[in-house]
Amino acid sequence: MNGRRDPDLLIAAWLQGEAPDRAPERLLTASRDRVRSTNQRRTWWPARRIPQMNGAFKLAIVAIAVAVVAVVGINLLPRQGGIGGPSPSPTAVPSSTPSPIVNFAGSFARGTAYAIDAPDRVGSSRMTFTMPAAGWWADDFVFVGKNVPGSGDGFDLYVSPHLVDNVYTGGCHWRGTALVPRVGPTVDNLAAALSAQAGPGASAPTAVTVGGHLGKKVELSIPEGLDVTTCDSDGDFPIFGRWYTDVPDSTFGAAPWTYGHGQHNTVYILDVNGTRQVIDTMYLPGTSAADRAELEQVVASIRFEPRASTPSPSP
Amino acid sequence: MTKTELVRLAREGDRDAFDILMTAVVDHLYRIARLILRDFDSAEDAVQEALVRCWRDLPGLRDPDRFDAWLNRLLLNSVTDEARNRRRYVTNVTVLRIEPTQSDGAGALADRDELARVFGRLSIDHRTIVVLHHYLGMTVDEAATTIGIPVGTAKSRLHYATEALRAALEADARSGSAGKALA
Repeated sequence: MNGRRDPDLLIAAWLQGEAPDRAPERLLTASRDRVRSTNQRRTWWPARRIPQMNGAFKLAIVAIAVAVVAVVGINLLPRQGGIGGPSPSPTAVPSSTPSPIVNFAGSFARGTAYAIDAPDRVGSSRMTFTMPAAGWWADDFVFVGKNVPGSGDGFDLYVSPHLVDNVYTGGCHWRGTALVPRVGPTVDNLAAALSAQAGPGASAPTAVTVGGHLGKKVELSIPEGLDVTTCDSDGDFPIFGRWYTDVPDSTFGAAPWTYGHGQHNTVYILDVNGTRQVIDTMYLPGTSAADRAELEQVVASIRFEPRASTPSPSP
Repeated sequence: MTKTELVRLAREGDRDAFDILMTAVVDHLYRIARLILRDFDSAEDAVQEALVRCWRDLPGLRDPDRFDAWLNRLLLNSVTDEARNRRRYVTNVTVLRIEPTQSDGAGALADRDELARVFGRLSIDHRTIVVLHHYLGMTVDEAATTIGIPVGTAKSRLHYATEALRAALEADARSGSAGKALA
């Protein structure tokens, strides 16, 4: 071997030489044509408006929901495991789960394990979960959501981890209403502050466990009669503000993001090895019992594990 | 107008802004796809698919400053899909033995020929990590994040792929020395 040659430099130089200078013009032309005929998926906004339902339609919906629950409930509703306290817990976690796919974006595969490894969202741990059904996807890997076919664009339900620093008291008009002094550092401090937020729709905290970690659960609903498009904006979108985080370089400000009128959030506040971890889940009115069961199964499958610090050299 | 501003406009549905972005990034995307896929048609298809997905899903990109990383990930997903669909270039990277290089009588094969031969035998996953690290200059951590795999997996892939390429260079060097000795 010629000792004067640096293999890494040679490889880099070879790649530089192999790379074409420019893309062919036809590629840009073809891409333009396809983009021109493609509509954007309006993921976040405008909020999907919930249609007014007449009496017969409501009865039909109720009948379908009852049927769905009767047929699939036994298989889909939680039985044991992850979520403790008042919520039933499903069996979504395979006993021999292979290494999860980390920070995935795209359409999730049923029965596959994934992990969110984001220090600004999961602190010193990474959060793993198993997808119980098809139809879930993520563009930004910290939001794992589902869009119900025929319901319009955007998530109808999602699961997302958060680290919360403080809460707002203003709800729809949250700007300038951050709690002073800040909410205390414990699970109970945050649960109590969220429950005490201005406006209706916040439940009292209840005990819960997720992935073996104790915590509190708070239910937060935006009143269906409230036009959320009138709420304060975070600069991009209107938000019914509940909390925020100001971790440096966080990709996240006021939260939770508002997807539609009557949005319901179930917020799990956990003590994960000394870190106050929030798991925010959301569903919009009209979300089926089956879809909500899937949402609960995702939460029930959540586990927290140390972030890998020493990569294995083996293939 | 900055790229961030263009992303914001495109995210709101401004097709002209997206066209400017698309024009600015298409060469970069094509180079990556071409290097990984080693095929003109497949690379064009992968880039085109990534750009369409980018436009379609752009409203879901919350942070415009993440645009480049997000687009790279979209491209890699498209590249993987393309490779999976065509199944023309996928090989098993565990076969790393380098066959002795035969002199062609005109001297040893050039580095690039040997590298091209070995690189073409690597799997898509291994070519991807090589391109991200050796061509784009990403750290292993950055490459792992871009691909969406654990750092350990990225490190392992890079180690084996780079070792294969280094072995190719060593084989080429031995072949060159032998050729000179015989001359």
